[in-house]
Order: sequence, then structure tokens, then C-alpha cells
Amino acid sequence: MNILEVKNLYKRFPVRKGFFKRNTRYVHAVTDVSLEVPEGSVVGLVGESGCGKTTLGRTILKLIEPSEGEIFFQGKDITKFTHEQMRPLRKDMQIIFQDPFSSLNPRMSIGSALMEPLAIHNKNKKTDRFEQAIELLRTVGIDENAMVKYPHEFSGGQRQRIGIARALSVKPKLVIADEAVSALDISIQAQIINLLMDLKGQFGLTMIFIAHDLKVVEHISDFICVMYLGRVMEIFQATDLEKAKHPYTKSLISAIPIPDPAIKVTREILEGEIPSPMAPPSGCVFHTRCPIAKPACAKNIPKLRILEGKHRVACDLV
Amino acid sequence: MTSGEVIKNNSMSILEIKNLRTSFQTKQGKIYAADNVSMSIPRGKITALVGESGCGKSVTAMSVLRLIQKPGKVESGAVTLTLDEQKTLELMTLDDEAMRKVRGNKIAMIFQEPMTSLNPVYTVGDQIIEAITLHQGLDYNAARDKAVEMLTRVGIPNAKERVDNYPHEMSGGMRQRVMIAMGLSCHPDLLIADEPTTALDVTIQAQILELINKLVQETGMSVLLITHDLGIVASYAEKVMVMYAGQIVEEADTMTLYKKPKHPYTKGLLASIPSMTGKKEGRLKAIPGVVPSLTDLPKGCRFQDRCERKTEACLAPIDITCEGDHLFRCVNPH
Repeated sequence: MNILEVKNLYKRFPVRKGFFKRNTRYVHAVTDVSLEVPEGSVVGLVGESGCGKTTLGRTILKLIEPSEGEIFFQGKDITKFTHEQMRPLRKDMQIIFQDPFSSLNPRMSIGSALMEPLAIHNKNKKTDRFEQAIELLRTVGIDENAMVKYPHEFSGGQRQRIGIARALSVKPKLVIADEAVSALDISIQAQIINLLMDLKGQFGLTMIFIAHDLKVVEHISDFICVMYLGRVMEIFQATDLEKAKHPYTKSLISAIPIPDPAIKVTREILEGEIPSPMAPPSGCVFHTRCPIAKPACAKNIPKLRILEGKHRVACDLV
Repeated sequence: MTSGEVIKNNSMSILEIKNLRTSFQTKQGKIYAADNVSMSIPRGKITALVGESGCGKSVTAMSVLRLIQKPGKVESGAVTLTLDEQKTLELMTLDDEAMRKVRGNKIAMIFQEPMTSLNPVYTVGDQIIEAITLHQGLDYNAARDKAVEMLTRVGIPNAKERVDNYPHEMSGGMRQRVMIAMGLSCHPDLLIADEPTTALDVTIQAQILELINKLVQETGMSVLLITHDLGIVASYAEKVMVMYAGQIVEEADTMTLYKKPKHPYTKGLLASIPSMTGKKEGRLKAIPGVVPSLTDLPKGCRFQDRCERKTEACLAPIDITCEGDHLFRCVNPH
């Protein structure tokens, strides 16, 4: 069963300029994205600046309202759900943020931060919530005396653990990890990645793992979805990474330095800059940097078509 | 053998640091962000200085250029710059005037965040021209031509127009290229690049690193690359130095470091990176625990509380052991 289905989703942000605050331009953050997330899986969403992965994550949770398209969560069409209609669903879908330094309220003790979602969604006794919070901290490897402490007393890795505990407090079905390990040192990243994988198994979670580091995404994900300038370029099983066909995916893989000096990689270095999402190129958005682009690529927008099995690619030339 | 004796005076090296100690005054007392750091940076190559947050790698670089300000202070140590004509300069003994002639001219530095390192109220051209007129005495027009040439060299298209851009009109990758152009405009002997690509997308990172590599091949410039990315190190550096909690803990040529690391921290770091093998590896081998605070260091080895090879001998201060060119600070190495 797919816990989440996104169909032809669009999100455009207006850029208001001028004295009368007219909409002059739009940031095309998410363009025509369709995605299925099977229950119990980890879907890795990977791409560079401006690709729309963070906006997509937040739109799925309805933290941002979609411009067009549909979102189905556990079979229900939540696209047009109001704030009030979303409220009971919020305990089923949670998010872990990138910046452990700004995602915890500096004026709330850790105990308060953890007990708040429990109070909102579970409405049980305060003593029960207190014990649940301590148990959560234990699950993420933080000592219970953290309950009375404040975020500034903890390191980045510890705050990230607390953020994870907070997200899991309401026993969600779907967790979106938005660059959850990117701001951490490598040795701490490894700890947090292991923790997320353990918790996924323990709690039976479905995860959307948003990151720009393909190595981490490949390690943790069952499926990988590659995005560029708001659109999906390719979707494939993580174990099929070397079978990736889209030229962008291939250059992304090629650009990643391998931590092994014995392996000499002939890099396919992409020329030029990533275009602005305010002015995405015509046709295939990747054509301006694509090593195999043909004139037709500037005119036709390739459909995300099935290559074989679960492997889908948005390119007319492969 | 103490770390001070290990460094031999070597004309094959462009920079030698001996027993550098840089302190910072904190509420909890004085800490040594660089604690008796010694290193030799070879000429004409890319050398990497690797470590995680707070290990002292940036502080070391800033100390070399005497850019440390209060509450920080370079307490002791010698930094010797060996220029082409076998002329050496003791950087710590130079007066301000002489040091200014070194900064940006003999040793250039580029930083992690190109937006905050470029002055937002001046055009990129003016910022490069400033460095050129200061160090090379060219007039404005000649300096401007040189600036355009440098921008082209670092791969900025339409350099003649873009020279008049302001930093905010350029992308992160472009700004970093401008930083490199600025750094190179006076043909420095040594370029210190402090996390030059961390803030950039991976495809742009690849461009910048290839550019730096190409410039090293073409000009014989030496590079000290400060980074936490072990992939970059493996791909571009010939020699690697690993820092932990203010000290150098291992140093070797790249192949040796990756294939036969001695220090448990180095080995732990290498084992904890997910590799792209296409196979599911299960759990990553994470190093347990966290870096100790510099205000609360254990006696002896600073890595001991996280080390699975800890022994009695680790409770006493550890000196550097030398095996040829492979240096490590460990009494129970792999």
C-alpha cells in the first residue's frame, strides 16, 4: 500500500515587486511532481540547490499549500484539507529539520518541547507525558536529566537526537527528514544515520529522506528520487544506482569524490551554473547543462516514463 | 622523539609550522585551539588538513596569516615560509608592514562562505583590483585588465561584463571563483583554501576543485586544503594531516592514510562514511561519543574516551611516532 501519493504537484512562489506589490515573477519550486511512497519504505529525495526537494517535503505535509495537483495520504485526498482538517492527521506525519540550532525553541526546556506534542495529540495525564518524554529520550540515547535543560546546553548531534525524539513522540506513520544530518560532523552523521535506521525498524516508520549527499541517501534509502529545478529527473531502487540513466543523475554520481585514492574517476564535470528557479529553461530543464542535449530537448518537456520495473526516467534520449 | 624535532628543514616544503600554540580566552578559562601543532607543507602539491568542527584546522590557518584576534592569541610557535629563491621568512617575527606584504601576495587564503568573504558594497572587479594595485603597483587600467584576465582564467564567462557585478548578483559557485581569482591575482606561492566548497552544490564543487587542481599543475602553486570531506581529500590531495581536539593525530601520503591508517580516529572516520557501492551495508561503523570540550580534556590522549583500543599508556601525554613519512600520535595504533 502506498502511504503517500503525490500527483502532478506544483508549487509556485510569487515574487512581489514594485510599489503596488504586483506579482512580477514566480519561483517555480516544484513543477509537475508525481511520486509514490510505499508503506514501510525509505524514499530518498536528492538534488542540488533550487531543485525543490525541501519545498516538496513541506508541501506534502501541508506546511505549504500546493499551487496545483493532488496529495493522497493513507488513501485520503488531503490536497484541499483545511488547517482544522489537517490537525488530527498531523500526528501521523512528522518532520525532522536540518538545523539543530534553530529547530528547537531556545526558550523551552527539552521536557516541555517533548511533552507539548503529546499534550496536543494525546491528551493524557501530565505524569504520563513526563514518563513518555523520558522514554523517548532514552530511545534516542539522551540522558533523562536533559528534561530540565535548554537547547543551548547541547551539541548539534544531541539536539538532532532531541528533534528526532520530538518527531517520534506522537508515533507518526510518515517522517520526513529534511537534511537531518547535513549540518553534522561526519562522525556524528554516522551515529544519527544508524539511529534513524534503528528507529525506522523499531517504530515501523515510512521515511522520506531529503538530502544533497547522494552517498548518505544511497545508504539509507530503498528508492531514490532525483530532482532538478523543481522536476523529477529519475526514480530508481537504491540498489540500482549504477544503472542510473539520466544524464543529470550520472553527473551527480560522477561529481561525488570517492573516499578512496586508489579509485580514479573520470569526472563528467557539468559546465555552467544551475539556472534560477525563477527562469527555468524551456523544454527539458536540464538541457542547458546536459552533455548529450539535442535541439529538440529545448522544446519538449520529457515525461517521467517507465524504463523497467520501478525505474523511471524523464529523458527522451535514454 | 618530540614533535618539534620531527620537522626537518626542507626546501621541498613551502611552509613549516613548528609548535604552534594559539589560545582563546573563554568563560571557562584559557583553551588552546591549536595545541603544539607542527607541520610541513610540500611545495607544488595539494596537502589536506582534515578534521571535524573544533579540531583547530581553521585556527591553524588563521594563525599562519596572523589573522587571529582577541580573545584569541598566538602564544608561541614559528612559521617559516620558504620562497622560490631559497629565501625564508619567519612570519611570526615580521612587523605589520612586512606581514601585509605576505598576505594576499605570497600566501593567499580563500574561505568557506563566499558571500560573507566578499565585500557586498564593492564590485568583484574592484576587490580584485584592490589586491593587485596593493601588491603589484599597477595603475587602475592595467589592474582592471589583469582582473578580467583572472576572472576568465577561473572560468567566469563574459568576464568583461561580470567584472562590474556585485557579489549578490552572482551565484555561490561564481563568488567562490571570484575568491579564487582574488587569491590568485598576485600569483601567491601558497594558497590556503579553508573549506572552499562546503557551501556549494556537488556539481559546482567538482568544477571548483578541478580548477584548483588545474592551477596547481599549471603554475606550481602549493595548496593547503582544509576540509572535513574525506572524498575530496582522496581525490585531490597528495598528503593528509588529521587533526583532533587541537592536535595533529596523523599525517601520511594519501594512499597510506586511506589504506593503512594508524590512528583509531582516522580509521574510525574512514569506516563511518557510507560508500557508494550499490550494496546495502547495514549499520555504519560510527565512532561512539563526542569530541571532548577543550575546557575539559582528559589526561593523556584526547581520543581515549571514544577509542576501542584504549590502554593504560593512553593516560599519559602522547608524543608523535614516526615511521618514515607516516606520523601518528598513538601508543596503541592499528
